Amino acid sequence: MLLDIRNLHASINGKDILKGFTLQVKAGEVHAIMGPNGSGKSTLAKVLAGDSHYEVTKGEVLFQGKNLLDLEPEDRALAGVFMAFQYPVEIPGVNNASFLRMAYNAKRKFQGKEEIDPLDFEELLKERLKVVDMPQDFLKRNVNHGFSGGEKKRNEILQMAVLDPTLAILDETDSGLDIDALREVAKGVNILKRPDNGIILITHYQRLLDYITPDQVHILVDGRIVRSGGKELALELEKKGYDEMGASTNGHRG
Amino acid sequence: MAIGVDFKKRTQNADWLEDVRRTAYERFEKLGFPTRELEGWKYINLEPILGASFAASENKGPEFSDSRRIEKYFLSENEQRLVFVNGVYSRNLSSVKNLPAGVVLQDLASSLVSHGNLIRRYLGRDASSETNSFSSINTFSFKDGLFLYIPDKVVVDSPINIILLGTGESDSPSLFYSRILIVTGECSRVRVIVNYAGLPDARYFNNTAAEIHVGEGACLDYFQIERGSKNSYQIATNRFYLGKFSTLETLAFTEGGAITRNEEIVEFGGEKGFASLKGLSLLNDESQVYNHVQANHLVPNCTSRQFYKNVLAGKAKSEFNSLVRVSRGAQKSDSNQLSKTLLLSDTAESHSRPQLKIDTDDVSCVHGATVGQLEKDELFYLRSRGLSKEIARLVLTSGFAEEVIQDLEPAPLKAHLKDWIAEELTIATEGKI
Repeated sequence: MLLDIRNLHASINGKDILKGFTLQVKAGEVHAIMGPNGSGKSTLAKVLAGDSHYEVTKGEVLFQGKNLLDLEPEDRALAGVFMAFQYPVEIPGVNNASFLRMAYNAKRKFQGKEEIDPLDFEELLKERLKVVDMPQDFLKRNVNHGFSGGEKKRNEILQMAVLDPTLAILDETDSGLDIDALREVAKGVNILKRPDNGIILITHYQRLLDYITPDQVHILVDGRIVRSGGKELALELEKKGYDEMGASTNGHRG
Repeated sequence: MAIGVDFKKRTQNADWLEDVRRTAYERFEKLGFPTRELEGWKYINLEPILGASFAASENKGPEFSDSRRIEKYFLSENEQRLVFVNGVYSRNLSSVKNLPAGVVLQDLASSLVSHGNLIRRYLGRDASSETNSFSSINTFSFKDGLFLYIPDKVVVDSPINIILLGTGESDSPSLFYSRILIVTGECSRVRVIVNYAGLPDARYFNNTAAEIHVGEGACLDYFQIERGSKNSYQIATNRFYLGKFSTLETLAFTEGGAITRNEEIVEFGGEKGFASLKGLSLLNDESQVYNHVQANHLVPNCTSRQFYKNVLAGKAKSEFNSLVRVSRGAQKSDSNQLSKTLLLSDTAESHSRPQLKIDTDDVSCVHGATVGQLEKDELFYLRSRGLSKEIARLVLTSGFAEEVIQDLEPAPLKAHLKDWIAEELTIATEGKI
């Protein structure tokens, strides 16, 4: 088992968001989590990544058998967890390529390997840039600073491609993207999909699933999974809408 | 502090210089030492300077001759280099060669003899209206310093590196005066770097006064690199007189030092002048920096930019006190005053006061100031990519600081400062939060 989330409860500023979330992800699987606004999708992503704004009040999360919630955010990343942010943060003054190299080397160090030679890293970057189909000068700019929405999302996928995580959580990476950008992002995800890693796609719309085929689709409503099924569940959802599909949508927030 | 009036006895002074010194002395008598009631001296504690037994260091200078100990202040092989030890020119440590014809670059003491008539037109111009007591003291006390003269249409390619070295020791601290006079001709170009330097742990007080006249259409860069010890005190008063169509770029980079006070006064004397004034201070422990910046728009169509950043750790303290004055009739003046401070500790202190005095209409004057800590979201973002808390802090802090120097030239200076920033911030960010 790659990821085992059991009865997870989490809150922010005293407000309960996740109310008994349970999910199991095996290696090689792609899970899509869909839900209306305010259902707790992003909270799930951030709690898994270790965002300290959220408080876990109950439940546990095992990642490859280890208690994930005990780890600092950087230790989760080093262990192989990667979250693509819904709103990637702009870091003025920090060069994209050096940032990627630092992150890459942090992981190498964690794995007991030597730091990569800067020239070798350049080669690796060139290779990974193709995944997101971005020009070289993408690397010379400051991290996300002044990037368009689409560029930020591609940069998340590029980071994912460089860090090669065991578990990737994509938090609404598709939202705000035009269809071309969406295709690029999906292509990137498909390249990174392997028998030994797992992917959680958090999305509001079904359209990303036209390009990435999930093994399971879960519908999240008010902090809990109300239905799970195969990829056909997403299509059914697209037709019927959340109200009809997922019991009550109490706690619906904008 | 010992304030002597022995200038009266210095018979080698030309009459005009005697007059300037006397004017400055009279001015000082009127001003007295600044007190904290004065707005410009409100936050600074002068006790360590005025109370300490700094001895005027006439004979301490040239004894020091070990160039290896100051190598870290050298920027490149081909630079013009003038070294002053405790305010006295050191011929041995300096290296001046292959200057374009007509350029004068030498110690002020010699220049007063060789170029007295030229210097007389520029030195001590504001002696009678001086508001900074330390500048007055410098004017009646200085013995040596730098004189740089660039004729019209001359470009000096290699940067001029001035190293003002303090060597005083804790039981015999040194007090010295550095005087800098720069006069550049029409359409000339020169880049001056002033390193305020000290031997490790040296105890000294360097009182610097600079007068810089930028000719019509001329470009001048004036970069001050202040790297002090916990025993070093530094008060500098820099006056920039800008001619028509001239361009001035300054940087005050401060790292460490017990007290550093920089006063930059820019006076636009002709239209279409441009001045960009930048500052970056990286302070830890109990270091203090006071940046007082003034842009006087006396004529129309001039542009001034002020951009100052501070990174404060420990109990460090910074002040940005900035004034843009637009005189009557100086329409289309364009100014911007911006200061940003990053606090890495709860005990650091920052004061920021951008002010405007505008006596005309049709101007564009913008000002702003921010003081804050590292953004939690930014930290989380970096940590979520596997960077440790300490590295994430360092990366964000370096990014914040490096913005000030990202367009800096020459490249060796930028590289030099980047290394210092990395070194200093590694110390400042370790193990915090």
